Formats: sequence, C-alpha cells, structure tokens
Amino acid sequence: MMLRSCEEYRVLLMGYLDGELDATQRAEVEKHIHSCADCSAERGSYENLNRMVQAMNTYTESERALDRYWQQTWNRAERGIGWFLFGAGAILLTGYGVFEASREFWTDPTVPLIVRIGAGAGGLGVLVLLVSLVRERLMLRKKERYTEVER
Amino acid sequence: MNTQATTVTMTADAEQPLLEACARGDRRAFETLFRNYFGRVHRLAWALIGDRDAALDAAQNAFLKLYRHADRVDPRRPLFPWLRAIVIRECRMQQRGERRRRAREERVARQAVPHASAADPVAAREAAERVARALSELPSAERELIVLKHLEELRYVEIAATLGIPAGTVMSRLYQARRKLREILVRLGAEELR
Repeated sequence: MMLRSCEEYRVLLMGYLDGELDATQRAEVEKHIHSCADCSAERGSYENLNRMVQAMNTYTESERALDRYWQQTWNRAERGIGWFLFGAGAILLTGYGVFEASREFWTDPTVPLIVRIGAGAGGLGVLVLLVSLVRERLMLRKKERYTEVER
Repeated sequence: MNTQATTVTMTADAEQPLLEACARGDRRAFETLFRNYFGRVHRLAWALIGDRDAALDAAQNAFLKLYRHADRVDPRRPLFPWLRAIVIRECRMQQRGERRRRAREERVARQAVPHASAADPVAAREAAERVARALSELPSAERELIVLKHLEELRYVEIAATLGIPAGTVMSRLYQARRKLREILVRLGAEELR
C-alpha cells in the first residue's frame, strides 16, 4: 500500500465523505483515520461542515413569498413584451416620419447639393449599421447559447 | 401561518407539454414551471451570490430566459439542469459588476450571523443565511464547487462537466474550498467546526 502524508489523506477524505472512492481507497482512508487522531478529528469536523452547508437545502420559501416572486417575474415578462411592442411601433412611426420628411427634402430645389450629399451619406451609414446589427443578431440566433447548455 | 412552498421534481414527460405551452406564451404553463422550480433556483443563486436580493434578481432573470427561449429548450430532456446552467451564468454576470459586487458585500456584511438549528422555518432561514454569508466570502470558483456538491448533490463527474474542469481535480479543489469555508464559518462563530 502506498504511504501517504496526512495532507494527502485529507484530500482523499473528501472523496470518502462524498462516496466517491473505490473499495480499496475507502479501506485505506478508514485504516488511516483509525490510527491518526488528527485526521479522525478532521473527519468529524468536515462531517459537521457538510451538514451545516446542507442545512441550506432545508430552507424553503413561504407560499406568500413565492406568490410575490411569481407576480414580480410575470410583471417583468409582461414589461418585456410591452417594450418589444413599443420598440416595434416606434421604429415603424420613425421610419414613416423619415420617409415623409425626406420626400420633401429631396424634391426641394432650394436645398444645396452638399447638404443632400451629406444627408444621403449619413442615411446610408445608418442603413449599413442597421443591416450589420440585424445580420449579427441572426448569426447569434443560429448559435443560440441556450441550446448549447449541457443537461 | 408560514406555509412553506414545496418543490416537486417533475419528470421530463410532465415537463414536455408545459414547456411546449410555455413556448407558445401560455402563462399558466410558465407559472406551473415557475412554482415547481423557483425555490430551488433561488436557493442555488443565493448560495452562489450570498445576497438574497441579488439572488432573487438572478433567479428571476433565469426564468425570464426560460419564458423567452422556451422554444429552444429540448422538451425531451429534464429542465432543471438547463435552469441550473442558466442561473450559474446569471450569477457570474451579477458578480462581474464591481459596483454591484461592493454594494452586495456591504449588504451581506450587515446581515446578522445567527446561531440556530434548522428545526423550524425561521431557524432554517437563519442557518441558511449564515452559510450564505460564509459562502459569499469564498472565491467564486470554490463557492460554485461547494454549492454544486452540497445543494445540488452532484457527483464529481457531473460537477466537472458543469464547471468545465477536469474530473480528476474536483476532489482536491473541494478540499481547498471546504478548508477555506470552515475557516470562515469558525470566524463567524461556528464552534462545532473547530
């Protein structure tokens, strides 16, 4: 049997307490614990620690708290839908407004050529940026990270 | 009266129609899934962040993602591991914000450190608060190990797969994490760990 230090046995003690060791390793740890008072005390201490942490699992929310959390979450979900609809409406109205305003702008003979070129370049830039954003969003959707979550 | 909510582990078969309905925007299906899993998701987030308010936010974000992306969740597989992975990610994102992290640490530090047994709901909450406070002082990688082992009761191979670390290192990392956690709890007054 391999000779190990107490520190090495304390690492193995984790696997022992978690039921992750094979029969040979278990026997080796048990033998050491019986012959080493310090490691035996460590075992008791870690058993207490494990119980203490596991006590978190005994805590459950009250029905009233759960009702409140549900209402908050559903409100947030609804607000998400509201923001989406608001955004879609705003884009449609802004698009229509820009279309109407630019129709007058482009047909007005008093607007200097330089201003038209500037406005055209600016408008084209915004369009390129929008297309780029939409394309990126579609690519991300294809590689949707939530579908890659391991279960 | 303090009625406690219970978490019922659903089978994938029971979840399947609920997930499909949820993907169609069905509020009742979403609520059923929420009521089944929120307590567990919130507890997990609480242990990972150490602050109940921030954990509530992370848990709610995880459920909002479920509602918005229910159509992309495979209904033939159990839902909870998906929710677990999402809430771990949410908690990591929450912890990245430096200002929010500091505010959270201050809130957690102000919380009382009670000495109570988990015999009744109030004591259970107090005991959970003490552990949550101690966990919040651990580096996040070690906190995740402890939480996945003790709250989620995962095997070492499952912990390794969830955190993306070599399976052979889980035991030694858990040793380091438990040793530090014990020191913190002793400092917070857990005499039984000395």
